[in-house]
Parts: sequence; C-alpha cells; structure tokens
Amino acid sequence: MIDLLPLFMIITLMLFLFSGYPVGFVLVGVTSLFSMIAIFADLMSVAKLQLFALRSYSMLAESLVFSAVVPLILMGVILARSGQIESFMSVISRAFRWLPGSLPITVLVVGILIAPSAGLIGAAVGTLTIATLPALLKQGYSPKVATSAVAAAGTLGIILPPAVMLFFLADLTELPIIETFTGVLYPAALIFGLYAVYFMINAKAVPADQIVYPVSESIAVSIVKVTGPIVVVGSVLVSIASGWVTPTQSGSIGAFAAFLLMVATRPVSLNLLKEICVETATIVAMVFLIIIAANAFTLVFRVLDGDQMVENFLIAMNLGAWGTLIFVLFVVFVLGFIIDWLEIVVISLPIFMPILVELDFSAHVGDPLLVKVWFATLFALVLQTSFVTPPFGFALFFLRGSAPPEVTMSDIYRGAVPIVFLQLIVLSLVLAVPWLATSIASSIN
Amino acid sequence: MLERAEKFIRFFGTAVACVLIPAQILTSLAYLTGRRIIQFSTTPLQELEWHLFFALVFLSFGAVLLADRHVRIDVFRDRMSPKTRSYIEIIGFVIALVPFSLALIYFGSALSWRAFQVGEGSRAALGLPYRWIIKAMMPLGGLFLLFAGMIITKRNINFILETRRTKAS
Repeated sequence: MIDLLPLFMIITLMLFLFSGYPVGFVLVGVTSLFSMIAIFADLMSVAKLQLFALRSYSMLAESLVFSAVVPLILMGVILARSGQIESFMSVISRAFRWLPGSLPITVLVVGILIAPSAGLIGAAVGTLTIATLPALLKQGYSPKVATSAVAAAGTLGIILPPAVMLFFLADLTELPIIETFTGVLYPAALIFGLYAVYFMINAKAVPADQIVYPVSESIAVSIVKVTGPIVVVGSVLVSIASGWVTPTQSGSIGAFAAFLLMVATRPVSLNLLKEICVETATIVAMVFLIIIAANAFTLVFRVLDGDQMVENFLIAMNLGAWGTLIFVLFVVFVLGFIIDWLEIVVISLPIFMPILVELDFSAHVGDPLLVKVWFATLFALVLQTSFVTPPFGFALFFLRGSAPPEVTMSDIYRGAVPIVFLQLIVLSLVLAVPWLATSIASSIN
Repeated sequence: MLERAEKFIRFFGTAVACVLIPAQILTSLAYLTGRRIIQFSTTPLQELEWHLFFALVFLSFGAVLLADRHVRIDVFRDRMSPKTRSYIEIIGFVIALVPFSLALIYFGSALSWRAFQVGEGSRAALGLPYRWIIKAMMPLGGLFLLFAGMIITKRNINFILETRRTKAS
C-alpha cells in the first residue's frame, strides 16, 4: 500500500484539479496532505519540509531564464493593449486583398507576433480571438474557416520563439535556450506553409466592397504600422541569437521597443500604463505560483519514490525506446485536453525526463544534446496539437469563450479538424526525420 | 478591519507592479549598456535584476488572489451552483491556502533569519549584500496571501449564511 502512495498522490491531484480551485493551491494542498501522511508513516522527516522554501528560493533567485518571463509578458501585454494588432491587420489585409485567403494568413502572422509573449495558451487564444475573429467574420469568411485561422494562429504562436513555453521547456530539459529555440523553427515553418496553402485553397479572395477597414492614411503611416510589431518581436530574437545578451536583457529590449512603439503611435495615459503593469504582474504571479507549487509537489513525489514507481512501470511495460517515447508523448497529449501547457510541463517533465534521457536514440538522432532538442521539439508539437483536438482541446474552449455568440461550438470543431490533421503530418515528420529539429542546433555546436 | 486590509492589499499589489516591473526593465537595459558599451562593473545590476523579479513574484500572490485571477480548471466549475463553489473555496482555503501561506511565512522567515545571522551576501565579489532582505519577500508574500485568503473566505461564508437565511424565511 505504502509503495502506491505516489500513485494515490497523482490520482488525488487529478480529482482535486477538477474542483475548480486554483491549480497552484490544489498542488500545494495535495502536497501538504501527502507530506503529513509520509511523516506519520515515517517515510519522510519533518526537516525535509524546510527544503520547500530553500528550493523555491534557489529555483527563482539567480535564474537567468525565469526573470526573462517578466519583460516578455510585458511586451505581449503592451502589443495587445495598445491596438497594434488591429492596425497591423488593417494594413496587411488591405494590401493583399487580391490574394485568396489573405486575411487568415494575416491572422497567422499576427499569431506568430503576439502569441509567443502572451504566456498561457488561454491568454494567447483569447487575445487573438478578440482582435481578429470579428474582422474575419465581417469579411465574409465562414465561421468554420475563421475559427480555424484563429486556432491555427494561436497554437502556432505558442511554440514559436521567443515563446514563454520554450523557456520552461529549456529549463526542464536542461537545454540552452538558443538550442531550444532552433528546434521548433523548421517544423513551425512547415506548419505555417501547410496552413497557408490550406487557407489559399479554402478561402476566396475578398471582393473590394467588403473591405472592412477604411483607407485614410498615408503609405508612410501604414509602413510604420506593419513594421512596428515585426521590429519589436524581431529585436528580441535577433538580440538573443547574437549571443551578446542574456534572455532577460533581450526581453527587456523587446519590452522597451514595444513601449516606444506605443508612445509613438497613440496617446498614452497614466491609467493605461498602470493597467499594463498590473496585467503583467498578474500573469507573472499566476505562472510562478504554479511553478513554485509544482516544485513542492515533485519534491514530495520524489521523496515518496514516485519517480522510481513511474520508471518501474515503464520498464515493466517493456515498450522499448520508441514505445516509451510514444507512450510519454501520448500522456502529454491527453493531459493537454484538460490543462494548460504550464501545468503539464512542470508536473510531467520532471517525472518523465529522467526516463527519456536514458533511452537510446543516438543512432536515430545523434549526440545527447541533439536528442534533448528533439524531445523538446516533440513536446512542443504534441502540446500544440492537443490544445486544438476536438472535442476537448483546451484552446477551443477559450476560442468559444471569446467569440461572438453566432459562432457555435460545432463550427469551431469543424474548423479545428484540418488544423489537427496538418499538425499531425508535421509531428510524424519530425518523429521520422529528427534532422528537422536538430539541424540548426548541430550546426551551431 | 478586513475591508481595510483588502484595500491595502489591492493598493500594495498595484504599487508593486507599477514600481518593480519598470525597474526591472530599466535595470536590465542599464546592465546591458553598462556591460557592452561603457564596461563598468555590472554585478550589482545583474543581481538587482533578479531581486526585482523575485520580489514581484512573491508580493503579487495576494493581490492576484483578490482579483481572482489564479489559473483554475473550470470544466466542471462552470456547471456548479454558486453555493457549491463557495464551499469549495472555503475547503480549499483550509486545506491548501493556509498550509501554503504558513509554509511561506514559517520556512521563509527561517531562511531569511539564518541569512541575517550569518550576514549572507552575494558570492560574487562585487555583488549585493544583505541576502536576508530578498529572502524576507517569501514570508511577506505569504502574509499577504493569507490575509487575501481570509478576506475571500469571509465573503464566501457570508454568502452561504445569507442563502441559508433566505431559504429559512
């Protein structure tokens, strides 16, 4: 019975998560419940509890990666709150109105620009839906195609550099951030290409009389509106790729650039600045509450030999290297139905990673660093797909929640199917041809 | 008393956000220009950067709880009655929020106190001294969280009592 304590811990966690009480506190609640049991059963000393504060401190303090989350989120909040997306969309959709599917493809570009810094998938998809879905519907796209575009853009953006998610994947797989960034580039480019072709085939060109946005500005202003957000997000990527600055500094460059853009293009009130800061602090606090709580959870889970239990279980299943990898990816995929990437990444990776790194993929992929890049890319792709897979896909509910009432859940489901299909094509390609994920990383090293 | 505490926590949360976030960005940028262009010693700035981040995280917990913005999984919550939700909030406070806040307060203070006693500073030669200050952000954050939790719990208890009263009458 005592051996099964970690299993009960996971089951209790799953049950309590559905109570709807904040995830971070549920994690801590379950942890304190089981540490009491462990202390009474003499499996754990009271002194071990002190590790909680010590680990929370040492994890966040002196971390070069985690402090980068603040400026990145700030950049995303500024871009979203200052109306940059709407003006970006209006200019591009006017310029390319003759091209079939131009507006959905514009939405994809917007997703690439703002979703990486939105933090959680819920925030990314919610922001995108509010900013882009009404325009898509007004221009006469069917709800199916319109929601398809938003779901595609939000989930593509959540895995692209400088995505907040990649910072946490890098931390938990013990990879340098640059290598993690490079892994998703080719797969994401492939996905983008497939989406673009899909939207060109499935969406007609918009007749001139249906153009939503009025033409009332000079070309110079239009150019600023289009290049502004690209320069802001680009500044983060270029500075981080140059190797000159730490991730936090490159995030700060991006946040500062976004701030300059906002000041240059619109009147800025003190109240707006206050709202931007409070929103940023809110997202940061909700992300790191979960990080700290999950850290406490894994601490006790390990003390109870939970990692050993999972390893024994996987060994007993005798699936081989490929079978184990697919099994783990499948578990992550199913978890993506109900919880956001953050909870999945911080709870499941500490349990699965030690087992995965033991598997021998050297013949298929190459040296251990490249194998990790491959793993991180696979995790990112699997999470992306699980968020849009009907009927549970986590992102789909956020889409519904932020969409106008005439868009039904079945529109959203029908829109999601081709997206999932295209993503699965790329996922299997990356599984079969690891080169797609590792080629840039191997040329850097 | 609790109304005042609520107002204070909200105000404090806003102040923390509006001061620490711009400060962190400016510190990063100063560190960057300092290291790359003027080349003066930047160790204190580098440490200040994560000090500000660390303080922001812990001091924001309480205000975010009051604003009800902590991440929830609401697949089933959407279908629950307001009364069931109130009960869950109260139970959650007792078995999860109180232990968490107390752990932050107790173990965090112990950590900070030890740092104070041994005069712990940065390991780097030119780094910031007085590590106990930043470590004290943990118990302080825990205290705010505990108060925020008490305010919300009181609200939920009142709500349940009220629905009972209206049913009885």
